[in-house]
Amino acid sequence: MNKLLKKISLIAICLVLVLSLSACSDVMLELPAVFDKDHENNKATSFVAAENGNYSLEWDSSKKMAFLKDKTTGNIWSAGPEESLEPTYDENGVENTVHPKLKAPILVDYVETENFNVKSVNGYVASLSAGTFSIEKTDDGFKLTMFFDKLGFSIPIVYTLTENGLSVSVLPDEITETGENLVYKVSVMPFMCSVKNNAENSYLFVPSGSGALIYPDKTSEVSFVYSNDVYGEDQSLNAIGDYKVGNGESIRLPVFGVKNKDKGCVAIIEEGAESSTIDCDIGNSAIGYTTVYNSFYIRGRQSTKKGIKYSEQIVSAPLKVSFHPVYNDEADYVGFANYYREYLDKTYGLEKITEDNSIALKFIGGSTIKKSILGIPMDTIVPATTTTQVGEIIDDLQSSVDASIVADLIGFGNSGYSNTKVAGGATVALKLGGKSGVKKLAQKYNESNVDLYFDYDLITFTKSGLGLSTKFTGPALSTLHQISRHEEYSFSNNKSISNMVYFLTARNKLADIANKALKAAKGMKVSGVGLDTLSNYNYSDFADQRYFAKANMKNDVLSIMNNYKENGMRILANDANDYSLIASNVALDIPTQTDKSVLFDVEIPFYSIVFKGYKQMYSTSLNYVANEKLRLLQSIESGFQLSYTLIKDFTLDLRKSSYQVFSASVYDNQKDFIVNNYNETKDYYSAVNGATIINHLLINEDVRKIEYSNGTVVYVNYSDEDYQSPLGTVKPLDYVYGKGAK
Amino acid sequence: MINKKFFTRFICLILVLSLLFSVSASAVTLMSKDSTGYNDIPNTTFTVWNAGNNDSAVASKPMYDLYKTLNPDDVGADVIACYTDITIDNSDNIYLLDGNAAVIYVLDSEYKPLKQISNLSYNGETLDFKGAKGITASADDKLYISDTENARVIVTDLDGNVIRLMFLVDSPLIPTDFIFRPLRVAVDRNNYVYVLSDGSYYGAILYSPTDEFLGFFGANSVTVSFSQALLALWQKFTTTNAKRSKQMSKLPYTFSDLFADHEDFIYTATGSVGEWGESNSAQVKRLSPGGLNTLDQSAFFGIKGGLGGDKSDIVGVVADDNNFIYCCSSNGNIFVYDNECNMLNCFGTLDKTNDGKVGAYKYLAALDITSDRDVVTIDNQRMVVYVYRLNDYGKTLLEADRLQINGAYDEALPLWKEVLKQDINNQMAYSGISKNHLIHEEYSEAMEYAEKAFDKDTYSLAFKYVRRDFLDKYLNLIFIITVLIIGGIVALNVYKKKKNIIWIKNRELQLLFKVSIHPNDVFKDVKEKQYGSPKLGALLIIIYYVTTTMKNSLGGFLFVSSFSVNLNSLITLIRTLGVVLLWTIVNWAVCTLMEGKGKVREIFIVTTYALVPLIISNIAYIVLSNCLVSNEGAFISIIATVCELFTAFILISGTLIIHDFTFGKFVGTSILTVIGMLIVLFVGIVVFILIQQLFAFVATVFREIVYR
Repeated sequence: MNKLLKKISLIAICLVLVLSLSACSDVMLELPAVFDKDHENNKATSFVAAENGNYSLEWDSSKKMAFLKDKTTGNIWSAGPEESLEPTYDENGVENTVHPKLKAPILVDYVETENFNVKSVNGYVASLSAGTFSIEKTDDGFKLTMFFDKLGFSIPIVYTLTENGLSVSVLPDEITETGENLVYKVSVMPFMCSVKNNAENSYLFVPSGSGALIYPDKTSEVSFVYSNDVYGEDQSLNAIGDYKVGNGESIRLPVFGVKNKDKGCVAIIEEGAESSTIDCDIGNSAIGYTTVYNSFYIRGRQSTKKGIKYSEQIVSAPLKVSFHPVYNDEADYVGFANYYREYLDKTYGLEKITEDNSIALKFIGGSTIKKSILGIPMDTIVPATTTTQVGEIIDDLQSSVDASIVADLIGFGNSGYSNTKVAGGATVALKLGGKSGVKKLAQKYNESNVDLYFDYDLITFTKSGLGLSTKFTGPALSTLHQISRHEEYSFSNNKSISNMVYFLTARNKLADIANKALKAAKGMKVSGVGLDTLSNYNYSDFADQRYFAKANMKNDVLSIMNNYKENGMRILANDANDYSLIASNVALDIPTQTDKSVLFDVEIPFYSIVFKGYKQMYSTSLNYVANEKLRLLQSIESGFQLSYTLIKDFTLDLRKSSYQVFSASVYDNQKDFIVNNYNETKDYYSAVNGATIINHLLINEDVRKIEYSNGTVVYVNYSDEDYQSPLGTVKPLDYVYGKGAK
Repeated sequence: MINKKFFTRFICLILVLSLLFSVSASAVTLMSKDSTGYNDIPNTTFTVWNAGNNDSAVASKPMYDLYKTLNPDDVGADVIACYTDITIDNSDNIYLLDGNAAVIYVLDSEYKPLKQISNLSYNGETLDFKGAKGITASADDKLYISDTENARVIVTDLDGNVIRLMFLVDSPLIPTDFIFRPLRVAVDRNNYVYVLSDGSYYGAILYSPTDEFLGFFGANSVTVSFSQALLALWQKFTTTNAKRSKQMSKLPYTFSDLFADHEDFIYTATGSVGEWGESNSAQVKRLSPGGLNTLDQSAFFGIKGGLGGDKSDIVGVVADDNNFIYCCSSNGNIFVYDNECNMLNCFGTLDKTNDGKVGAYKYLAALDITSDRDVVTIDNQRMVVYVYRLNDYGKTLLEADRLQINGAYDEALPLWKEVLKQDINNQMAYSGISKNHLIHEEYSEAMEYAEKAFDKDTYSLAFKYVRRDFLDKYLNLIFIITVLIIGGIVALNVYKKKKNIIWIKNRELQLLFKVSIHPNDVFKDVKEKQYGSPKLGALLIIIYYVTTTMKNSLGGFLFVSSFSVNLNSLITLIRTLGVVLLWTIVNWAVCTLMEGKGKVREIFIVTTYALVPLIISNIAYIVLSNCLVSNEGAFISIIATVCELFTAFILISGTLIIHDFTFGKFVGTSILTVIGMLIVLFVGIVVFILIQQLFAFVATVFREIVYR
């Protein structure tokens, strides 16, 4: 007996050792380099770091600031607004002090390891003015390393002169720390895109949802603050159930800007946008300026019952934001959109498209509900639409309208709309028609004006399947794991796990899951796939340093989408981030409104100004809004064609589903609504199809004028009163259009 | 002894069944645009499906859209110190009271600033109403300002010219320690004034048109449970007066708002009633001039815990001329009810995470409605006014409901159908259509829609007629069949006696059928002759389990308490098999110690054979619940009670016989058995938790190795 026990113990020990060693070789997580308290400062004298035909980049050692000088206009752009660079005096001749934030190249949020409080420090105050910094010349600029001696960390940033202005990069790999305080977030050039409080004819542009403007007319003793993650909140935070205020629109475009009378500055987060926020500091009377800027997360974070936890390691992705000064006619949000489109064209390539009049239909297959069968609660799919019914609906609708149809089959996987296995198990529920049903549908509409997509949720799941386990591969688990280790409390004691709403595909397995879905889609011979979550979700995976703070999501998604395209698949994106939209053929649920922050003054269709005429885009489902007229008008303003969510049959069992997509979706009830909307708008869409928006004007609070590249002009009236436009009277909640501009 | 092999098989079967029945998967809600349905921000529009004891919040098309957001500059103010109340006059002018700054901002019906009222003077004296908490515009165009801190009500015209002041009058009916701090005022069309004073649990103070004190009006009552009454009685005997005086007494909940409707009924809102989990019905009352609540006493207002929101603290109530009730809770929800207390819609949301979104509240303080039924609300932390406007769907829904309540079923029908077109989840629409079919004597259709609406009243009425028609048609046939069956049974019995025929030859089965008639004889045979079959006992448990499950799933619609989807036969399994097995084992253990002579086998047989009346009761329930209407349900209850009593009788007599106990000893051992069962359960749960933790530990170690 003793001998047997010894043998078993030995085998167990060997197994543990083998497993531990093999795991060690997988991913190496690197801690930041150690901060050198005895670092040498290198305070260079003023110098011109780089120069081109338009600009020069200079370091001013007296002001301890970097300047971008516009050779054409003579304007100076720097960490602070131009007006703040020249001394001003009060009535007694005493020089007014400039708020130190107006000189700061960076603001740093750091975590005190003692108590995990987050505090802020100004790079100018704690490093530059203290003389603890070094400067090193680079090819097109210079590297500025700021040493925060009292806090025990250093942060290097690189200024680079570009053809269009200036880019600033944060180098996370070169950040050093003593470990006393952890660098958490770095805000770059926080007052470069700023405007004086209460300035006339000025605003901040924030790309929340469709786009928003903030006027600098709010002043207070403390700042009004807006901050939102680019590409939406980290879904690994969302995966743990938390209260949220209803729906929201995320930032889908990594661009922001400021209009300051006849000049402005547009900024694009070129690298590391996933790990970035766009922030506004509004109306602080002590500072005197209202500003928009971006901040990069340097560390991952996770919300637990014990508060926010931070990763030991820092992000390893490059982080870069570029600034481009604009003047006169270009110094407005249309100018910003044009510049941003040019950037996207250069970076990814954008092509103009020709559009038909079309309607997008999202068909919901069914939902898994718990149904009692002889008293036994069983998970059962309740069909809402079968593949045959999809065909019948499309045929019926096309007999009433002469539109092309974009059909997206959602929730046809093995669990319907409910997300159990990832990608719906890469199959089609038999009750909903099975794979053969989809295949028949695809064959039926091959070579027709029906563009058929089969939707796969490649990211969220609640049950093990396709090689993913709810026990061991979900990144949310590993996220907590890494962070909990930081605090050294037992993982099993973390009660947050019990709040898990869904699991997320491990980032390193995303491509694998995508391939499985691709194989399944090809087997069904569908012309394209809908990639709803993939096109708009961003999330961290703390199993690998490359994925901290959502980093590298853009590259991963682009790689997957390009692979699909190489395999002949068309792609349908939903509520798409800019990179997803560019990689896709069709996009649904494009935002026509903002996140409704109380700080926003005006909602603008910035998204559509950038992409209209380049991508086929559709609004959110018109049968799922409180005010259909308003949403229709917003779609008209944006030039987005209309979309609807549909099912064929509603049974009361579907009421028990956790999802709310059934109650207003029954085709028979919605058909007249769809047909009427189409008939009312088809001429308008014919007039603007394929055209780009060349101008967008806010005539007053409620009336907008949109000018298209083909000369079509549209007036949209959101008010309760008639508006007399050059094209005629625009009735309340209505629009008129005609030719009139070029 | 019971056959080992049999026991092993039996336990295996049970384990397999348990595994099968414990299959579960959680449906989850994604935060994507599709899954949240209506793509409006903020979006928490829902209604509550009344489904017996299983109310559920379901998505609902919004009735109201956020129409306007009025920031301080939109009302003509630089800064708002604190909105404390809102009122709307006959001309739809809106009066926003900033009590902390003693200013009233007046907006016109287009929500444009009209004027400000701040300097009130009366008889040459300037009236400071800083701290005023309430304002009410009366039907005769007067403003009543509840000047809380100055213990008075200021009555002005609509321009702020003070007409009179109202104070607390001397009356022996008012307690001497009563502190008058008026919070809200309601004025009826005869100029009777109802004043709600802070902390007053006596109800509203009622003034005559000539400002005479007429008494307290409409106080909430205190409900005392049986246990509380017992406790009070115990304390009366066991504590001294001094101790009793220090104990907290239960007082009625105070009102949070008052409103006088067009018929001079007074609506009262009572904030959060009771602790979490307690019933908080009757939070809104419509009191007649005599003080009687004319609304359904059991009606529930606001959100119950578990229905997707926090428990509601109703802070405001108003009603329109069609008696639709609009109330709001401080946690940002606005509810619309009809006068039959059906929730039509809930909209609005709380900004818990400080997202700062337009339309999300930090603290929803009060509401009022315009003649066009715009809902105007104030947030007294964000200092913002949100105006909601009825959309086309909302207009259709309100009109359909109004017509139905007024009995215009035919006019309501197309509107209900339109409502269903736009929101197929609408319970009221199903119910309305069902009622329409009922009055047109289309009973089958009425039943179909009533079942969809979980409307048992309409279903019961329709079913009564369907049953009547069925009986009219087939009564003769049924009578003949019944006579034939009874005659056949009698004839068979006579024939059996004459010929001395034994239909059932199996001794065990004979015993089983005899147990309901001669339990003592049966259990004597079990004890003395070792008759009785554990296999049959096990079969009885299975039959009992199956019939109990069928009772839930096949019972008539009128008698099911909730949607059958919630039934979990695992619980039924525990309640049937688990209890029987536990009773058998623990009773054996206890009785062995107490010199009982029963063996496990005998106890098992007695306990399982005693289930026979319960099985009969279950079968009777399944049949009768599909034949009877609601008000005939007493028959089912009587049968169930008789069967339960008979089961108890069989169990008692059997236990007495097999253990050879006196009745007293039986009672004692039974109590000990129940205690023992509880101990076993406790120990079982502890062991289960320990095993779970052990698995969690192993899993943690595994993860550590995998992720290292």
